[in-house]
Amino acid sequence: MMSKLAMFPYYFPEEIFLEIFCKLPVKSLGKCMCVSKSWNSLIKNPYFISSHVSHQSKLRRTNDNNLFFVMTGRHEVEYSLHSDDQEFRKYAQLEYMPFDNHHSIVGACNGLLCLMDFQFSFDSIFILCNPIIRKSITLPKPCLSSLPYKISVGFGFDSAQNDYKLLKITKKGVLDKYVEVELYSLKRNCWKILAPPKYDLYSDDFMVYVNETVHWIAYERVNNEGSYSCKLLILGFDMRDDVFKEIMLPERLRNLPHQSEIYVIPYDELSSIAVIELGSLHAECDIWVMKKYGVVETWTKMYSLGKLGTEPMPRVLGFRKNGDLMLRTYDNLRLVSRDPESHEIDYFGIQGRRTYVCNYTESLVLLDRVIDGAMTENRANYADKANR
Amino acid sequence: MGSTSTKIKLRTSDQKVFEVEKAVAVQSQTIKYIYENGCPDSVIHVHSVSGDILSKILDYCKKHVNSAAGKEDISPEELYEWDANFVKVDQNTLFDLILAANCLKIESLLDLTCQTVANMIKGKRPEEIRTTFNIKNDYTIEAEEAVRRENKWAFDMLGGVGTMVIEELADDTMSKCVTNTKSRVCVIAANQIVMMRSISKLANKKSIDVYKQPQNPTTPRIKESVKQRNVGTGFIELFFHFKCKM
Repeated sequence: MMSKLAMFPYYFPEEIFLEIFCKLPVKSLGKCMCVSKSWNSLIKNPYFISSHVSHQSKLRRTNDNNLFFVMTGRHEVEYSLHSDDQEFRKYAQLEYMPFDNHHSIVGACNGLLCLMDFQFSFDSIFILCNPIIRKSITLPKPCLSSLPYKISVGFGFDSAQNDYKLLKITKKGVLDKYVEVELYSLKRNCWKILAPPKYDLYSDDFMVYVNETVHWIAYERVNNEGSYSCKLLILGFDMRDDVFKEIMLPERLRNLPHQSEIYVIPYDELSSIAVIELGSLHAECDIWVMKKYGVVETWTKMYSLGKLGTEPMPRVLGFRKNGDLMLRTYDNLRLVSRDPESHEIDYFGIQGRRTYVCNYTESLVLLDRVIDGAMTENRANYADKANR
Repeated sequence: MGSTSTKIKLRTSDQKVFEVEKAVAVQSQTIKYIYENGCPDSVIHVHSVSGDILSKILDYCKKHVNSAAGKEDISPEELYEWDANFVKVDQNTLFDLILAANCLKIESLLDLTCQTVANMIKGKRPEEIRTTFNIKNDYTIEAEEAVRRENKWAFDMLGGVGTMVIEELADDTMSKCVTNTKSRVCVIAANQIVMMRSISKLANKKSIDVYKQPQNPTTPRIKESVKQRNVGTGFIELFFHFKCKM
C-alpha cells in the first residue's frame, strides 16, 4: 500500500466517524460540529443522537463516571453535575436553566430534565430541558387542567419509538372514585387521555423511572365486612407498551399502618427499585430492595437506618455506585452520603432550601429539534390564560 | 480435522501470505464467515489490508485469544496496558488499523482504535482538530461564526487548573487563585462566568469580560485591579479585587 497523508475525511466511511463520535463527551461533539459541514451534519442527526445516548449509557455502567445532577441553593438556586467519586467532585456548573425558582424537577432521562412549574395555580406547566446544550421546550397545555387534590408525574423514554413521554396522574377531589390519566409524547407533541387504572394515588411523590417504566405507590380500598382497609402496591406504567402493570410490595408493607410512610427510589444503577418505609414514629426507616426487578420473591429488607442525631429522619434520595445512600437531611437540606453498613457519614457541603439529586447522563437530545413557532406558542397559551 | 492447530492462509493486498491459527484468524468476523462458507483449504484474500497492517492485527488477535484462553498468564490490567502500547503508533498506521478492523469486523480492535482517536479529539479546539487530522474547513466565515454561536455551550471553559469558584462576591472582595502561566483562568462566581483571556495580559487589563446568566439580570462585577505574584515553578497567584457596580 502506498503511503498517504492522513486525510481524515477522504477515506473513512461514515460509520467509522460515527463510531468515534459515539465515544466523545457532549462538549467535544459541540466543538466537532464547528470543524466542518460534513461533521456537523453527521452529528446533528437524530439517529446518531440516539446511538450516542445508548453508547454513553453503556459506558456509564462499565466505567466509574456516574454523574449526579444536583439542584440546591440558599439564596439562589444552583444547578450542577457531580461525579460519583470519593469527594463528589463538581463536574460542571450548569449556568443555563430556563426557569426561576418556581420549578420542581420531575426527573431526568438520557440527559433531559423534566421540570414542572407551580406558578400558575390552575395549570401545571411542564418543560423539557437539556442543560448542557442549553435547549428547552415548553410542553403544550395538558387536556385536563384543574387544581388537583393529588398529582403525580413521571418522565421516561420509549426506546421502541425513540420518544420521550410524560405521565400525569391526578385526582381532582378527595371523594372522586377514579384518578385521571394523561400521557404526553414528545414526538407527537401532544397529550392524550388514557383509561385510568383502578388504583388510587398514595402520595404526591414524583414517579421513579427505571427499566423504561415509571413507578409510584398506589392503593386500593378493600371492604372487609363494612370496614375499609388500604392495600398498597407499586404501580408501573411501561413507556414502551403504554400499559399499566402491578408490582406487589413485600407482604409487610401491603397493609401499612397510617402513621407509617413509604416511597420508591431507584436501585442498582437504575435497573431496579427500592422502597423506603418510615416507621410510625419516624425514628427509623427500613430499606427494602427488589433484588431482581419484577420478581416479588426477591424483596429483601437490606438496611435499617436510625436517625442522624436529633434531627428528624432524612429523606433517602438514592444509591451511589459504591452502595452508599444519598440522604437529604430534614432541617438543613444537606446532602450526605451514608454507608448503610458502617454508618459512616460523608457530608458534601451541598446545602440549600431545596435540594434535589438524581442520576444523570450527558446527551445531545433536543439538539436536532427545531424549536419552532409551535413550541413557543405553547408558552403563549399559558400567558394568555394567566392574564384573563 | 477440528484440532486447535488448524491453520488458515491469508493473502494481503501486497501479495504477502500469512499462515495463522484458526482461533486467531476467526477473531475477524469477516474471515470467520468466509472460512465457514467457503473452501477451508483455500487462501483467503484480504483485499484491502497490507502486509504490515495485517501483521500487527494478527499480533493483537493472538494476544487476545491467548489471554482469553488462559494460554498466557496476563492480568486484565496488563492486557489493558498492552493495548495502550499497541495503539502508540503514527497516525497513518492508526487510521489504517481502524479501516482494517472495520473491514475485517474485529469489534474489540475497532473499539480500541476509535477510542484512541476520540481521546485525540477530546479537549481540542476546532482549529486544533482540523490541524491534527488535516481536515479542510468548508465553512464560510459567516457560517462558521453562526455555528460557533449556536454551539456556544461547548466552548465554556470550566474546570482544570486555574478554575476557582467564588461562592459570594460582595463589595470589595479579595479573592485569589493559583494557576500556571500557560492556562486560561476561569473564575466562576455565583452564576456568572468571569473569564480571563490570557494570563500574560492580565496585569495590563483594567476590566475583564463578564458573562451574565441569560434570564436573570445580575449585577455586573467589574474588576478593580489584579495583582500577580510569582509563587515559583511556573505558577502565579492572582489576586482579584472586585467591586460591585449597581
